[in-house]
Amino acid sequence: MGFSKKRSFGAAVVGLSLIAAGCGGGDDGASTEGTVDAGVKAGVDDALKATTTVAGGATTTVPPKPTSMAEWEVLWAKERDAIVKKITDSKPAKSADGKTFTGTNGFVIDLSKCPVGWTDTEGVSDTEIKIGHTTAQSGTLADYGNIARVMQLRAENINKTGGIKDSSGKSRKLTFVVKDDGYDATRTIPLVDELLDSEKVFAIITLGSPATMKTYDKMNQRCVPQPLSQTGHPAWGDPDGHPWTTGLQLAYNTEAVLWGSFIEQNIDKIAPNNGAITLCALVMNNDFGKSYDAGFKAYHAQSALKSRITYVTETIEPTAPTITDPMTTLASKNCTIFIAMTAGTSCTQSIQEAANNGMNEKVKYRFQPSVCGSISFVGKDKVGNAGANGWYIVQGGVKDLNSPAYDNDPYMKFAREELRVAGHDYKSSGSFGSGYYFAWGYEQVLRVASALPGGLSRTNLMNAIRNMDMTHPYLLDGIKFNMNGNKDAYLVEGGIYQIRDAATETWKDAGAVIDLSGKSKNCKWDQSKGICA
Amino acid sequence: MTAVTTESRGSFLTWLKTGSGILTTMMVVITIALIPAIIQGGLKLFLQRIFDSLNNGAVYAVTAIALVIIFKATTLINFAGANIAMFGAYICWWLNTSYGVPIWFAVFAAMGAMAVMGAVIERSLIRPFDVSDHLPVVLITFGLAAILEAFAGGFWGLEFHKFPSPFPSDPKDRFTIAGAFLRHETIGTLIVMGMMIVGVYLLLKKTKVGLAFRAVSSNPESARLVGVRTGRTLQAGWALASALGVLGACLVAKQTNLEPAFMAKLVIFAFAAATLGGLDSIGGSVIGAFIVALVQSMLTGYGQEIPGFSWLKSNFALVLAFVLILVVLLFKPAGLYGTRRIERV
Repeated sequence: MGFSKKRSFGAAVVGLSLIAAGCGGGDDGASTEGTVDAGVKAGVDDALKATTTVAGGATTTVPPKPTSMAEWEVLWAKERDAIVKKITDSKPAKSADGKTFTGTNGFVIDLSKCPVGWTDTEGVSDTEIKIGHTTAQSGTLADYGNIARVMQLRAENINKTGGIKDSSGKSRKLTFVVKDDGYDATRTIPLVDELLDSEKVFAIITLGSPATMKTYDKMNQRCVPQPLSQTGHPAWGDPDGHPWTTGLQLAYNTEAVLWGSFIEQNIDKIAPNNGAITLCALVMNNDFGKSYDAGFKAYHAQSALKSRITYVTETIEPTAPTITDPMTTLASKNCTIFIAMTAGTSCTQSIQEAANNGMNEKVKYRFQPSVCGSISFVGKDKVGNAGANGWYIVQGGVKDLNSPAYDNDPYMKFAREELRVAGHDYKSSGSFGSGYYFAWGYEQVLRVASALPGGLSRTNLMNAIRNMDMTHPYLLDGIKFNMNGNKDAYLVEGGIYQIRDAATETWKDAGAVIDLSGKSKNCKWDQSKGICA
Repeated sequence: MTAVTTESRGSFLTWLKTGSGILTTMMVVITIALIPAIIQGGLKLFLQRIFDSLNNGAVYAVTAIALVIIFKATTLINFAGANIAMFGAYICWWLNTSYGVPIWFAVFAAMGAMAVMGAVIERSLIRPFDVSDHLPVVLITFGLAAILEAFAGGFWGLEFHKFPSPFPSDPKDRFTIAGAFLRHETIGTLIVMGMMIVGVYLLLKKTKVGLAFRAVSSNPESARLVGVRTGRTLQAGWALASALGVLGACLVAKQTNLEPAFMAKLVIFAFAAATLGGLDSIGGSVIGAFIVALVQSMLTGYGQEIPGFSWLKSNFALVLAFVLILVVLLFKPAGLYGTRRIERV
């Protein structure tokens, strides 16, 4: 009997502990304290007012784009020179005691807390630049590993054509040391340690919000660059608190503002006479999904139409094999709008389930997140002939390598050919396109940093990133690729509403490109509340 | 009369303290707690959750059966089983999409191929080790799972693929009952699962191979002494489990999509099902699968409607599976229908 009681007690403790653990991961109540970035909201509202009735119209004048890779190379060289001149003219320098690096446009790094033995050029030899990369090459999101394949392919071809040239005349080969974390942040941590302490890399690129979030404090304490992280979490826009970390793609909270603005613009069409709507969201239970959720909650909290919008969420684990149960729950809520705040297979599953449970017919506006726009998630071969037809997306300003709409785009042709020569079918993975999106960024920031006085160093790399202003060939016309020192900490800000046309397997514009460059406020991330402070 | 009533009450109280009593009490408490939310949600939603549970239960069951067959024979958990099944599903998909082999032929071809692989694995990697020493064999199955996942990614890519359904799978292929949808795919999966169970039952009960298998799983030493070739029998068990695993994987891949880790995602739920039903009971594991699916669907679906439980969302499905495993292991280690092993010293 005594044993039985102990056993019961033990089971109860274990059970409650597990529930508490899950509760901690799943509760999303704290994030309602967040606020919407006023600059972004004003920018979106202005853009929408200008283009409300003009589908496909343009809000900005776009200069003509190069029509061949040779022309692109000329343009990029010119743009790099301009950045180098801008930075050089600002006379970036370390203080006499070596404790502060003062960069361009207010970008400052406190070097006094860097660990003993830290050097500005670790991982850089006369002939090589060694960069670490943690990514998912196994597990449920293993397809993201194809980004690393492209990075390595680009590095090989850059090396064949002379590598990265330094201002001192040296030419270095680029080496990526890739480690598989299986998209499991707990595995990322020791891998980052290994890259720092054993491989002694120059910089580390991490994939995914959870992995980057778990390592960015360490990277900043160790004064090692974490450049152009492969995630859109808003926390990477913190040049004061985390000067060594940056993102690249459209921030998820900005995407949430774009969703919210779209809904406000269209609410009277779906609920006339001040009617109420229910917005349902399927949220992935990790830092990625939570950042979307927090961004939308913040938008909802300040919306003038708040009383007309009920926000309902269901949460799924990234490893959930099926999502039938949560989609049934959402279908029962009479949703007017549905947003999938998920990644990977569950994007496709949400489309499949919505088709099966009747949401496709009943829910007028159904959104996929920007990370699921690729044909790899919404193509006919994944969701059936009509599966994704009529779904909306806030495209994060990027092109789709797999889309026939870009068959004549010189950079897309270049990327497809490079993949073909390497034995890859570009259509076999949506992550190949993402690979080119990121790899182009890594190449350019390294070229700019190397061309600065003093050559390639960690401080020069971060200063270069924080002052980039170039034309990214993978971005839609009108979307800029720029930062401005400490004033603007996001490289890509902007997007476009699009609607899926299953017949042509393309996303059709449902509005103009919305350029929000320079409008996002920097973000000092409060991990306990899950918001930008 | 009074004495009889007291005796009945006494035996009821005794039963309540047993594993079955505790589990039943938990189910009753959960059901009572959910009743207001079920009434509020209406019949349509309740039926839909039942149908979802049938679908998920079938998915868990077909995965659990392969686990149970290996466990019955060796008292080992085969951690590679899920990925053997995954590899077979890839072969099926490859035959169907690259060579136009009709889906059911592709399924049977993949089952055959993986049955051979299962037999080879048993002979080359499992038999050389002492089965009573579980650790090396468990480590081998872990390693094998990782190798198969890596090979699948290497051969067919890391991206997920849509799997051709063996059943009508258009969104309109469904029956509507009181507003709830019962999909033809669910019915098809349930039918094939039923045939699978009957087939395994007949194989074990009515054939010489089955008799040998039962003898080996009951007592390998005695079976050997009476002339049963235990090695060959276990090899047949591995082949059978691998083939059935492939069949299960081909039935579920339409819903999960085909990727190297798709069966690994499912296996924890299959473990929960098999643990609940009894790791050495095929019928028990199937019942366990439907209970697991039902509890998940009802608790994560309706639980959040209970005041104070708004956090109980679908991400708790995995937590519930673990809690169920723990509770069963603590209170009824043999599961609901498993064999309680007693060893005399």
